[in-house]
Amino acid sequence: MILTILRRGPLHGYAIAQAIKQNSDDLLQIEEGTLYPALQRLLREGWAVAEWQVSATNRRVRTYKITGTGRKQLARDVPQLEEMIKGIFSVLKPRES
Amino acid sequence: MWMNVFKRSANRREIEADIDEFLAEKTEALVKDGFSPEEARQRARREFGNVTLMKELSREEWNWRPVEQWVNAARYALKSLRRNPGFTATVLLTLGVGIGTNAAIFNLLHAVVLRSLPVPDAQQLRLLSVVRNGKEGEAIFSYPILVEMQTVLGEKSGLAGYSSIAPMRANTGNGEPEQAGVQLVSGTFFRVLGVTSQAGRLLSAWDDAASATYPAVISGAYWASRFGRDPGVIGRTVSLNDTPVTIVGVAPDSFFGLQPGSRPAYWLPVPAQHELRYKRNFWNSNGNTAKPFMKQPEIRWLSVVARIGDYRLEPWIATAVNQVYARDMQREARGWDDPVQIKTLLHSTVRLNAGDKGLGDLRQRFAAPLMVLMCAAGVVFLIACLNLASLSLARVTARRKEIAVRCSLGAGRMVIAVHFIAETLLLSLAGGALAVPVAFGASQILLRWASNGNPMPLNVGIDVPVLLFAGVTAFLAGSAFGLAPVLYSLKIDLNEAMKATPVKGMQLPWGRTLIAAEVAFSAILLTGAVLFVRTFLNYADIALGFSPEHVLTVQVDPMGAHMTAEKLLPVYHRVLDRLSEMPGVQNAAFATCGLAQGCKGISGIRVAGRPTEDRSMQENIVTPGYFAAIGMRLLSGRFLNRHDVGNKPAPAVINAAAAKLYFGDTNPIGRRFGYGGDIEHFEVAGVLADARVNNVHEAPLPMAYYSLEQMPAYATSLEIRVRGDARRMEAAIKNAIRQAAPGFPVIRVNPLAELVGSDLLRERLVARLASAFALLAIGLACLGLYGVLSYATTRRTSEIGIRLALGAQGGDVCWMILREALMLIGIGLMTGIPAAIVLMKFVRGLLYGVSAGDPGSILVGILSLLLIGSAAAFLPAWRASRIDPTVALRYE
Repeated sequence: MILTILRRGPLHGYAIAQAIKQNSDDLLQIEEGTLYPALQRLLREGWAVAEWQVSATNRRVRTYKITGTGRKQLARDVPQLEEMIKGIFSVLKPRES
Repeated sequence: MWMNVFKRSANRREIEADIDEFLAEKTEALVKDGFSPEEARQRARREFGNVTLMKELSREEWNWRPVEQWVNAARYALKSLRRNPGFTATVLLTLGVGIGTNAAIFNLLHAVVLRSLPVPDAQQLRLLSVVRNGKEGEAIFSYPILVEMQTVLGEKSGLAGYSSIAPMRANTGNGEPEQAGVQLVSGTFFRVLGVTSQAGRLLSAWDDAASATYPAVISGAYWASRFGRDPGVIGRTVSLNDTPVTIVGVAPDSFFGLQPGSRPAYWLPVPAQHELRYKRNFWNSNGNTAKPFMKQPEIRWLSVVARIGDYRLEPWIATAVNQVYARDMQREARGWDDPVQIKTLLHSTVRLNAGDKGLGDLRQRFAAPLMVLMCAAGVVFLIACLNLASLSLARVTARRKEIAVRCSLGAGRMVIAVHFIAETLLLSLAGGALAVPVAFGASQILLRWASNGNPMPLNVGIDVPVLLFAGVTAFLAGSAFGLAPVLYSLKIDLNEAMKATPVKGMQLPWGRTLIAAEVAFSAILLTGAVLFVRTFLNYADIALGFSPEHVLTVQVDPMGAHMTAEKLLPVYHRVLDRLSEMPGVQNAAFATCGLAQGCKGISGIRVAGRPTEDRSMQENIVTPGYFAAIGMRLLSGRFLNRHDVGNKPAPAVINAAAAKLYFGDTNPIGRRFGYGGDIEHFEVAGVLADARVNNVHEAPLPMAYYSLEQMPAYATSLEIRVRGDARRMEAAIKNAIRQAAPGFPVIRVNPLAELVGSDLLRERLVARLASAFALLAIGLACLGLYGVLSYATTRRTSEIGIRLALGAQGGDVCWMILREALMLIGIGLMTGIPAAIVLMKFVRGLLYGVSAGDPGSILVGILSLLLIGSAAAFLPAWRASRIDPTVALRYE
């Protein structure tokens, strides 16, 4: 999810949280803090890189940017995720016959 | 590692800053939305979740790496090892001593068998040997032949000649004159070996020309011990056998020549032979040994080493050397009339052998025993490791509850396995480190045991291969005793382990197998040790043919008195008369050859009326008291006596071997033999029982004794039979000789028993160490047996209690435990003894007077193991039988 957001362009932590909120129409009520372990995982796997920059609001923020491998991973994961969700739905809503 | 730590802390700061920034931004946004700053801050934090936890989790994303895991495991392992000082100490001690002794023996083996000479490109060196009658032997060449070979080879190969190492009287001007080893070498010697001096210069080709005073190179060790590394020693004149020589340089400390285990103090050019009176290990055919060896092609006395720079030239060099040698042999053959001998000479060839490890004397003597000892030490260590394995198994069994708790709290099995591996690695590392000083000390002790008196000059410093050996052994040992608990911990049944007193699974897994294996190994070692001890005893009571006890051997250098052999005769008499006046002296006699010192003169003889093919006769020229002094037994005829002066033919006393070979079953007394043309020069006066005069290991050769009164010669040995302790007479005897014959050079005084005993150093070393190892092995196996049984009986306390409560007698219980022990020992013996019989076949060459499968020795092995093993098992068995049923039933 974060990668999807980052694909649109580099963002810093708060902006990512905002974007998630907007994208999910406030449906996903996750604790904002969980974003950080997830971000670290992306950094560790090399799917994203971080850089200190000055934001539009004139703050010194750490901006995260997706990498090439991150994009590849995304391309791999999204269809997989869709498959899985499709699977879940087909179990939850069995075809009426 | 440090980079990693540094990066991690930087990373932590970044994450924290990032999160703080997030909160600040959110607060700001909320304030904009109309919240009060305080409210906004709280709300931001609330929506974020647990800030500290999130920081922690973010950090841990980076932490979960192998390094971190290992560091943690090591830290944890250290803690748990410190909590168990007994266990830790046992393991460290076992590893330290075990690896240390193994490394020490390896070190010796390495120094004797494996290490190359400390010269550049040692693999290019070749030692020349001669193949004669299909047998390969040491080759000695005359100096003219060496020069001829050098000329033929030209630039294609360096060639150098060297003599044996002769002890000579060295007078350096400071302190008493002492004996020093001297080796005569051709001028090319140091260049061919590629050695450079550490002070002054070494010998070079032009030193082969005779000069006023001979230049001498001294060894680094001699420089240090005798001159305290004084650089002013260059240019100093010292005297060797009363001949002045000038020290021109010092060889490197590591350089000892070509023979590991010996180190000459001086190297001199070959022309010095005559004046230094070097007469050792030569083969003279019609030459004159009273004249300088150097010019005479008839006197062969130099061994040869070659350096092959280009391997492709080796066949060519071999051919060239052989052509020169063939010419030499043709010339030699002209002096013989025996067709067999001529054929042998003409068919002998020279072979080039790898010389990178130097001469093989020491190697031949000690390689096999050291190999055997290495195996024995390895087996002992293996037993120790098996004990450690059962110890650590017991430990892991005791800790199973702790492990189960950790597992159920979420620790992965891998984490626990890693923890055990870390513990093992730590122990192995520490044990290996501990082993290095142990190895160093043990090497010195071993070396002293392997030498008589002063240790052999062998380089046994700990070097890279030895360290490598210790490291590898430590690692193997670690995996031997550390792997089992790891595997075990991986398959612990959690439910079972969590119970307060588990019903099953409390027996030591594999404990019994380990003990049976230990017993088997001990059986092998014990059988071997019994065989080696018997070998040593057999040698020790071998019929020497003389009795060395209470005899002092005085080595003398009569040539140092600068008199002809004839003029020396009265001097001998004066010394003998003076000695016979001393109250402690029984008999004394001079001889040209001492006993057990490698003085062995053999000549071809001709027997009147009886042509035999083997015509060799070892000879010794002695004063009449000789036979009484060393205690030889007469079989028939008479000994030599003082009245044998001017008799024609001259009387000779021969040994039984000579009598049998030359005179068969006929009576040898009165028969005649001689040398060269004078075929009736000697007449047999008496026959002696055979005696091992050269070496305990060497069967007596045909031998003849002639009278010094009749054949004046330079006597090098004075044998004195004394009453009581020979050592105590030493000073008095030296004094008496000095008074009777001032200026008559005495070199050394040794009890004869000591000289003879040094022949058995090897056997004694093997017997001693093999016994020590066997005892150690049995001790360890018994300890293991005791441990496993005690553990088992403690675990079975309640079961035994029930048995006793139900009416079993103490004796029954005792027998029950003992039976178990006996079964383990039995299984061990049944595998160990056949293995021992098979393995002992490989050491047959080291045994004497006892066969490899000697039933008596094997029986001794079986019985003593059974006995000692039962004794070890008896204590836990007895303790079990004394269990009070009421206490035992309440045990849980």
